[in-house]
Amino acid sequence: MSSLDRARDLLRPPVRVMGFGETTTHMSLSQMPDLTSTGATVSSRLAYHEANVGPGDIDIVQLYDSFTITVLLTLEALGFCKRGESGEFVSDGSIRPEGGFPLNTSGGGLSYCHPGMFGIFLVIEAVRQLRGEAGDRQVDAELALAHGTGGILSTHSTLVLGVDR
Amino acid sequence: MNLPELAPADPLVVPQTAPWWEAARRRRLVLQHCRTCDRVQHYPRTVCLTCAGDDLDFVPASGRGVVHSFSVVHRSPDPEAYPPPYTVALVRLEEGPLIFTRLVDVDEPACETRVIVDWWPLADGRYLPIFTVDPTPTTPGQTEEPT
Repeated sequence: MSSLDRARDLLRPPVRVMGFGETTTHMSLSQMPDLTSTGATVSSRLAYHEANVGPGDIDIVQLYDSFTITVLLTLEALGFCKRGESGEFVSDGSIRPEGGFPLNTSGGGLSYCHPGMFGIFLVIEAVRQLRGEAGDRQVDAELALAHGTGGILSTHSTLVLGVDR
Repeated sequence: MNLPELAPADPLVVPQTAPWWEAARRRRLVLQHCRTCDRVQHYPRTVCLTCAGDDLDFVPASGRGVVHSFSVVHRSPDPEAYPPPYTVALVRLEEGPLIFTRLVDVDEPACETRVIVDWWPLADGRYLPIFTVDPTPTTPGQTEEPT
């Protein structure tokens, strides 16, 4: 990260941090306030508010897929579909290439790599997409969202990134 | 009970959990209780989660609860120590808190199934609480004298 002035002076186009938010709701599973709704509701609300955007403004999403349930819970919490509807949202094909909802375009933990600490790869892919460096998987995007989940659905961190205009 | 004779590992005891384990050694389920706001919580902490008070003691739990959620494990991390399949569960105790535990002799686990505590011996003489189907909701949990 750098100041925008310095970043604009460098070789590659900068990507702007438009908003961020984070929260922690619990450590062990027995202390999770609600098994069906995660703290991503809070972290994303903070990030959207700071960026002055909503879920409908986001062109591309990179979210941690530690497990498939993580994807479903996170899609709902980030506001991309209604509570309880993520199953249908996914099985309808929305998140496939050309499905209309560009998600985890590098393949995510499930297909790209799963080091157990995938967060930085979410940011890297978001930045590459916004810079137009994504080659065959390039999506036309102005605004990206990256969301990391840690612990046992415990900690959440949302970043809204934008092309520097 | 359809379980190995001994639970495979001796859980750590730390100062705030020592009274809970002493009760478990005598096959009593207890809950940490706040003397300031009267709430109960599990697992034991150094402060009350509700009011942040530190005047805490332990009170008996009925041992009854319902299945909040569960998962049947088919691929065990250690098949010798934890022969699959086995069912881990979050049980909502009657008194309110959730306990992370194992369901034993529950043929078709389901959410909301009424369960009751039973005890799995540990090698060091303690017991680990596990849960089985509560035959009737009015079955007394633990009728012996309070801790």
